[in-house]
Amino acid sequence: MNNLEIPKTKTSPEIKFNISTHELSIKGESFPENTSEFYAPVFEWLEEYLASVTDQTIIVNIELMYFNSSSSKVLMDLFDMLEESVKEGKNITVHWRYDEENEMAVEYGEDFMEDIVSLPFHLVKI
Amino acid sequence: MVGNLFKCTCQFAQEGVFLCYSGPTSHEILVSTGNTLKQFLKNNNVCKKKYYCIFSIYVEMFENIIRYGVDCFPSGANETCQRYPYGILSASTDGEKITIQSGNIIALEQGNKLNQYLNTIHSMNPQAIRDFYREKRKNKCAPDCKGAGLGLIEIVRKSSQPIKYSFKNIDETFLFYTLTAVI
Repeated sequence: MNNLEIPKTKTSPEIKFNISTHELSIKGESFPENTSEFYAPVFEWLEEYLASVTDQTIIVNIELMYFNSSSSKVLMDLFDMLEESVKEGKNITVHWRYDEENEMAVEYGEDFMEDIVSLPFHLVKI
Repeated sequence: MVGNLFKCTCQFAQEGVFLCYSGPTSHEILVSTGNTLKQFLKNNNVCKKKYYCIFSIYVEMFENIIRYGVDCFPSGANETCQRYPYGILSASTDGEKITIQSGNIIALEQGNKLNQYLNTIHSMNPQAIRDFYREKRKNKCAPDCKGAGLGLIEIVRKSSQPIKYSFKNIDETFLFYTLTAVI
């Protein structure tokens, strides 16, 4: 299985999922024209990856300055998927990286944190 | 025609409108006019929180028009042709607050549903709208929903005053729908 690398565009974030360091990162702004189409390969990749790992420590870094409401729904689906894997015994931690001056990013991070029960989720100031 | 445009420009200047787009909408135009809006906000040193709230409202309003607006510029009889719904969007400022407005054409029955929905969400307090957003995000979308169904909630959440909206009959089939948000 290969690393996943999607370069950033004007409306979509940079996505880098590394299979040797087990670090997954989504960074930038997210309001692609077709959100589900854009994120479909990410979910496909993740499904295969999560099935292949055992007890490695996986860090998911999310650093989104801006995401539209469709992307917000996709992020929820992503966290649901990771949460399922945690329930199956995988070792996954999410770092919600935010800029202190961008209060909305903090608020949205807090919301996700409250909606997720079993997935370790930390707010990290950049 | 030139006289009319001059009149429009003068009116915009009086109302502090610094950006206005009217015409067929598409994702490309959302991106280019959105970048212009961002640049204006940066040049005027708008703080980061407000900056993203304003941009977010602009994006959600624009996307709603692209998804639900009526196409007034049919490019051909072929149904596979790209849709370009008509929309008008403006951004204005009184020096302190920023106002984002959108106007577009929708079908009468869409308007009735929308009006009821807006009546229930427009005056929700910050905590209520935050809870409603989270509740909706967890649920599956309604069958007639083309996005996440969160756009209007997002607009209410990011506005610093209750949003305003209006519906004006164009004829027996269509309405002109406007939405105003202040940050």
